Amino acid sequence: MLIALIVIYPVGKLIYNSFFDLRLSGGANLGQFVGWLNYQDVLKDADFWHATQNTLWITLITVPGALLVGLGLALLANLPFQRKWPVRLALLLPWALPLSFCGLIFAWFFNTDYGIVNDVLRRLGQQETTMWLLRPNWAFAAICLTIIWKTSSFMALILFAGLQMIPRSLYEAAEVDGATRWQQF
Amino acid sequence: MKRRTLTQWLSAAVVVAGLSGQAALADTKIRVFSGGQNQRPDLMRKLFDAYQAQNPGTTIEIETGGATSELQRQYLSTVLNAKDTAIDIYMIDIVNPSQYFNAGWLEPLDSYVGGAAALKPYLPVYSQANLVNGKVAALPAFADAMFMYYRKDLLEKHGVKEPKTWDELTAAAKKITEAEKNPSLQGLSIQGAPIEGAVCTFLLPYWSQGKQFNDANGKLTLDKEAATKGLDMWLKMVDAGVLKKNIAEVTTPVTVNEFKAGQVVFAINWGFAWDVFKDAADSQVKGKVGVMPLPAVAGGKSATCVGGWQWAVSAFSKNKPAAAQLVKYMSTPEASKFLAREGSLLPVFQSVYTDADVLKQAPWFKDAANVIIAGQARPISSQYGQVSDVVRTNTNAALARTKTPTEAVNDIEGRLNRVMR
Repeated sequence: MLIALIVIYPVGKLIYNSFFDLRLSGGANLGQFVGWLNYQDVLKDADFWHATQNTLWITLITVPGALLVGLGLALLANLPFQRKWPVRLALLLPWALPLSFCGLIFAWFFNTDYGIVNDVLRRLGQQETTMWLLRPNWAFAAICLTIIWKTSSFMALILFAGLQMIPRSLYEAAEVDGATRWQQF
Repeated sequence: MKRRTLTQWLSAAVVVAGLSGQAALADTKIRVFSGGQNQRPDLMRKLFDAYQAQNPGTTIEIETGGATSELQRQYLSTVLNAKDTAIDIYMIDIVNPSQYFNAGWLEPLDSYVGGAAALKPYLPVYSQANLVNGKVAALPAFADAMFMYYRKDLLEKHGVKEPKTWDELTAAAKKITEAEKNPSLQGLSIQGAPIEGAVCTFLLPYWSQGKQFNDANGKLTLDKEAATKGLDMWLKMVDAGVLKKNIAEVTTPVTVNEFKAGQVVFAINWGFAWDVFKDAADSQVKGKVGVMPLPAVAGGKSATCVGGWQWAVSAFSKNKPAAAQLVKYMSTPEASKFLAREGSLLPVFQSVYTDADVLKQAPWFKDAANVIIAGQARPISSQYGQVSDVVRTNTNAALARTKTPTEAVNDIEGRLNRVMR
């Protein structure tokens, strides 16, 4: 019953609506039945294909990227710490931050004049200022970096939990058998 | 036993409902969406407090949001599309009455204000914008237009006269920035971000060449060559170092803040900014600011974009008569004078422009009425949201150099030919 409400009804209504000319901005002839017209319009629209391509690239780059960064963070967090909770909090925070907040914050980070990223780059000696959000490729990079930052935290949490579950005895046994640190990993 | 408790609950509920019904008769609550910070909700609050004092039993709550006009439009679109009764009156930009009326989002005010004749006392551009299909869609709150703010002190220091054309402005800006040798001093600041104001950035040089964007019926009459020349003009200024390279990131608040901090020589902005430069606690330019009409292109006339905000009653309000009363109060000459005096919000009544108190705060208001009367309105369309989206994103793309001006103008024509027919 709950699944029907949360999943089936919205998806069903969405598919139903896709055959009508509905506009969020209001207008006189609301809700006329237009058959496959919406689908045809979308397939003809260059922006749609562009967006699809971007989505594909973002998925290909950020999923492995987040996995790698997450693994690194998880390994770092797995080191013996005096107090465990600051580490766990730091791992959890990026994922807990609402996505829209994250977007707004990083938009300011990447702002050409007032952003932290350019400030750090300038201090590191970069001469030519990068206009992050004004060049398609740089903007793409900025988006990937933000997504990786956010999702790597989630990955790190899961991997961290997994790492914590490996009993110490396994490591000790491997060490006794003469395995190097890398082989133990 | 069960039936008795049920009847007990029901009778208790009826009593409570009756009591609260009585309370509601005495106490009206009106919820207002008052725009963003630039629409001075603090001053509106003072006017509301005065209204509350005159009308005991009425409480007015303000809601604000959306730093720029199109963000507010997005928010209101969501609320009004859902037919939410949460908002009774809301403030909309001058470009919105037609769209909101056609979408059925506002309540025509004819029965509360005595018909279309109620719009006569206002400046003509506002009478026109608020009259949709012969009905009163909204009442004006305050007027606005784009002006050229400049650093009087810097112009005097380097012996530069007030520029009357864009070429003169480019030369003046270059002379001053080169002489000042301050790397963070910008020659000119305009709005290049894809906000509502970018529609004006596109239209200013276009109108200045004497071209119209649409005819009286709303059909697109785009002169592509003139439009491309307009966008090229801004890009030439970027190349000359007068506009900063990332001008495509600049929004209205950014221009205001940078000019206020003393980092800009010339700035295009709206009338409300005068009060900010004059009175803000962190203003570095107090007493150093001049205001003049916008320059013209060579051989053209000065053109400005008219803005201004209106009060509308939501079609889904549960309290329309009370809401309409409040709207009427907010659109009186007295309210207009208060806003002009306290916040340099341009009046919608011609007479208030020459009021002595008002002139003391903003001496340049004397000539401002003429600027607004000669100003041009952006296309009036029931699909204005789409029109705005196409023009501002293409202007932004041209300024960010991700599209050439020709590509941007072609895209505008292609997309708007279907919408503006």
